[in-house]
Amino acid sequence: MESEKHHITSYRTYVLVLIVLLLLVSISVGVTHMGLKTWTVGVALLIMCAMASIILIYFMHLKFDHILLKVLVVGVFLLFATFIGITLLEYLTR
Amino acid sequence: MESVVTHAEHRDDFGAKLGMWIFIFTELLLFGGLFLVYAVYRRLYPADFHDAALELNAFLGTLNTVALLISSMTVAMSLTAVQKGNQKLAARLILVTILMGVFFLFNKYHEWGTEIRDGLYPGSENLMGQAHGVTLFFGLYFFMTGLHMLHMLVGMILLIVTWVKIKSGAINSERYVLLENGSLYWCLVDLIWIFLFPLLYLIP
Repeated sequence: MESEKHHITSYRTYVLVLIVLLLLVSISVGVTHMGLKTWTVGVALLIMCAMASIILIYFMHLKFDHILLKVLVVGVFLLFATFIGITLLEYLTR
Repeated sequence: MESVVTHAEHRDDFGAKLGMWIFIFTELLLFGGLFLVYAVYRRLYPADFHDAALELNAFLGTLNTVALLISSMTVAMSLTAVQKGNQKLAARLILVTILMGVFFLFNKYHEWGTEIRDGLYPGSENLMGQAHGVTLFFGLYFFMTGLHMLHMLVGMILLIVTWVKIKSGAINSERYVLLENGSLYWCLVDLIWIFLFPLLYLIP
């Protein structure tokens, strides 16, 4: 078995990712006070999903992981989101 | 590909990581159910949820979000440090991560303390006398943040073990799957909080 070459993420990348995440947090806090009413939940959800994806890709190293893990994680998360979505759709349109 | 190599020990880093991810998927289901309960009740009592969320300390909530994001970065950075052979820096970064966790729990202790003093805990006379949606909100709030805090405690114990192993050299630039898995777990704790924070604290 050949040992795989591991990608080493630079410290700089991590700091940049953190800055982006902090910006997104401030946006989601700011949006709450903008009085968008019903749109606020949608915007908040969008920002949450963006932050979650960034954490998964960079902090949880999916970007440089084995292809099998990538497919598995993306697949399971999509499946999970679909089921939550279908359940909510059914309930909210009752 | 099919060359024979004798191993002194059995070691399967990919398998270890795959196992961690499968465990993370089960956590997703656990919290997913709670988020569905939350969505249904928020839909039923939007005004009560709004009023109840105003009772929470949004400043401390935001501060904790920032602390967790920083801790996720430091735990991920420690992997880079270990891979580059800088054990000392890696140990320090893990220590910062644990301290951020302590900071988070300290804030939460303060928050819960204030809320319990104000009689906003499940089953309190004050809460029972309030609107139904408010009672439900605080039930969910205490359960979801409590379950999240339990995960943080587990994560911190895991990180302490990781710290000791970095110090002793059991985790090094050649073998670091435990650090990888510890880091994955800690980031999951952060991931869950990212969804909890706006849903509990930021209700317009």
